[in-house]
Formats: sequence, structure tokens, C-alpha cells
Amino acid sequence: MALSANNREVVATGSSLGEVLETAEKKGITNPTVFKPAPVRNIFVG
Amino acid sequence: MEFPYCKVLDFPKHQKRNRLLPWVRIGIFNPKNPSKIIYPMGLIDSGADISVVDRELGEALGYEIEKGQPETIFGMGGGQTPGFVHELGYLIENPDNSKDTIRYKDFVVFTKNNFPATLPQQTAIFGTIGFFRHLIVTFVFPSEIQIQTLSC
Repeated sequence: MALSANNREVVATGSSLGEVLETAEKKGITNPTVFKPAPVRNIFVG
Repeated sequence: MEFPYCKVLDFPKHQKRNRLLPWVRIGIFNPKNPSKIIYPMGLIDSGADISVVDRELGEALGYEIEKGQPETIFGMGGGQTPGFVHELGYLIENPDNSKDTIRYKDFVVFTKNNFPATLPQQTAIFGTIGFFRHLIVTFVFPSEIQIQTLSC
């Protein structure tokens, strides 16, 4: 995901770095903070 | 420069948990193309010998990951993470004044594979090589992390 430069807003989400950078740039954010959160879709058993 | 701790939410054993962690926005760039900068949110980790960044970011900066020096990172519990050492540019911007910056070059390990899915920090870890050996870092929990250059 991409956040605004002050880390206050989520400006893009996606499955790859390229995808979130492109989406952020389309919104005029050229220097977003990027971050890969742990996948919440994983199913853990135990 | 002062950086706030990052509030991190996760759900260990299905229970909601809030933690304050020293995750900080640090710019990284390839010295061969310093105009392209990516700003990962990474963990400031004084227990890490060297900074480690997910390979996807290295590829986006134009690195040929496997052409670096092979290295294996050992973690708590004996886990091993293979990667490749490269030279990386680092850019730290003051959150209160983006013109106040610290810039230097040092080494990094780009991981051979993506970060393990079970790690809460999936993007970057900033350790002694690549971070602490250039800076004075003071952890003032829970309010802020103070970062200065060694030359201050």
C-alpha cells in the first residue's frame, strides 16, 4: 500500500509495488510512503 | 529530526493488539540513478547487523538483485533469509521540514525472496550497516525517535 508523505492517508493499495506507485502518481502523489502489510487473507491454524 | 512511533494493529491468536513500533519512512535510491527515490516504511532495528529491504523495492530501483554478493541473514530462532548485498543510497527527510535531509550511501541486503509472510514488517529493516553507523538515534518511547547525523 501507499501512504501520503506524512503517513496520514492511504493513497493506493494493490498487489505490487508498481501498481501502488502508479495509482499514487495518478492522484498526484509522487513521493508516497510504501509499505507491505502482512497478508490478512492467510489462514493460520493452531 | 523527530519521528513518531507508528501504531500497529494486528490480531495474534484472534485477539486485537495495538503496539507502538519504531517504523520510520526512509528514502532509498540507486546511486546510479539518484533521482528515483522510493520511500519504504521500515523498522529501526538496533539488533540488525545490516539493513534488509524486500527485493521488490530493489528491482523497482533498477538493481539486478542476483548480481550482488550473496549473503545469508540469520534471525531469532535460527531462521535464515538469503539475499544479496548492494550499495544503496539513503535519504532521511525531516517530517517537519522536507528540506532538512540526511543523505548517505551504504550497503543493504536485498532479499532473494519476498519477506516471510509471518513477519509483521514486510518491507524494510534498518540496522547497523545502512543506518546506525551513520547516525545518532535516540528512542524516547512512546513519544518519538530522534535522529541526528554523527557530525552534529
